Amino acid sequence: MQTTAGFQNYTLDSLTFFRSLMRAMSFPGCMQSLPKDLLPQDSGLPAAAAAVALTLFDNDTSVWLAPDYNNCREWLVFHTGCRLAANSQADFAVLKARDFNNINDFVVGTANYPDNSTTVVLNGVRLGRGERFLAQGPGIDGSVTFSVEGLPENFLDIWAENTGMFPLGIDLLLIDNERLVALPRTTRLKKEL
Amino acid sequence: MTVNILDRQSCLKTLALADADKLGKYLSQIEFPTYKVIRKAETGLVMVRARVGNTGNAFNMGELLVTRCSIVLKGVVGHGYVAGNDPLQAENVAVCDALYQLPEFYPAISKILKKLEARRQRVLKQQNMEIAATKVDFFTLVRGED
Repeated sequence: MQTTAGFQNYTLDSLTFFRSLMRAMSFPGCMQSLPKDLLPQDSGLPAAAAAVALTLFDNDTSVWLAPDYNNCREWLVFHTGCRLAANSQADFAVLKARDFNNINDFVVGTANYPDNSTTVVLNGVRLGRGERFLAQGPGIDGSVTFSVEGLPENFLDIWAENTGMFPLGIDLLLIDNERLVALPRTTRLKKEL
Repeated sequence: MTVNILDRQSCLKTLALADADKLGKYLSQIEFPTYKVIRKAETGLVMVRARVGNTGNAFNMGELLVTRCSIVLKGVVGHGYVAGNDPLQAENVAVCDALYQLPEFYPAISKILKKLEARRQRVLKQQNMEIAATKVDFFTLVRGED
């Protein structure tokens, strides 16, 4: 895989995306649109995931890439300087949503350091269609609904396990082309009928 | 073709120490395909480590401003690192580095490297001579105490 360009303007673009990600994380379940024309194309990763990578990864982070994305390892390491690690040791994990089936594949932190956990980036979902979820928790005024297509069937069970081990657990980013929804471990989900 | 790492190191050294104007001039004289910048020239500080007399413990001598740039030309990645704030030279070095790895451009780049290196040696020699001319030897007279 040919190494291609990252952000056109590294400083400003990563700040813009950082802002989007912070908004997404502070308003769980609310869809955030990413600035489309700033997305790094042709990295081998879905463009929004590539932007997340350029924004959040650096030489202090360890990253697990699902085998689907093996061809963009070089791109990732070149632009971010991150270390590639096993999924049981990674600060970030990037995979396809349908392959997300076990919280214990990732790091959930320890009682002393619950923040030492994996942030999981799930690609290949469609937001705004499919199954409807009702989200409650910090950052949500009452409740909010959102819909996602492409999650594994037992997603709610997996997520209940995750919220059940609070303060341990993983945080999730659901990525549709240039939109995303964040689900931090504090967000409780129910099926909305 | 893969270029021997030692050769590439010495190529990058020559380019990094080369006169920026001369490098630009020589590079403009050869024709090469268009390239893509994958990391725009950017500046940053790197810590220079040193050892007194090249032995003993390493210490941080100071920070050096460095400009770096990376490009892809015909599928080959070239990197340029130069001291100081000089985006153009960093890009030129990156282009030369990529061309150096391509068999069809290797001879042309080697020629440029030879010229640049010869020029650098001349300048160095000139400087050393100027410095040598001002050399002062100090003698300490025996003071006869004892």
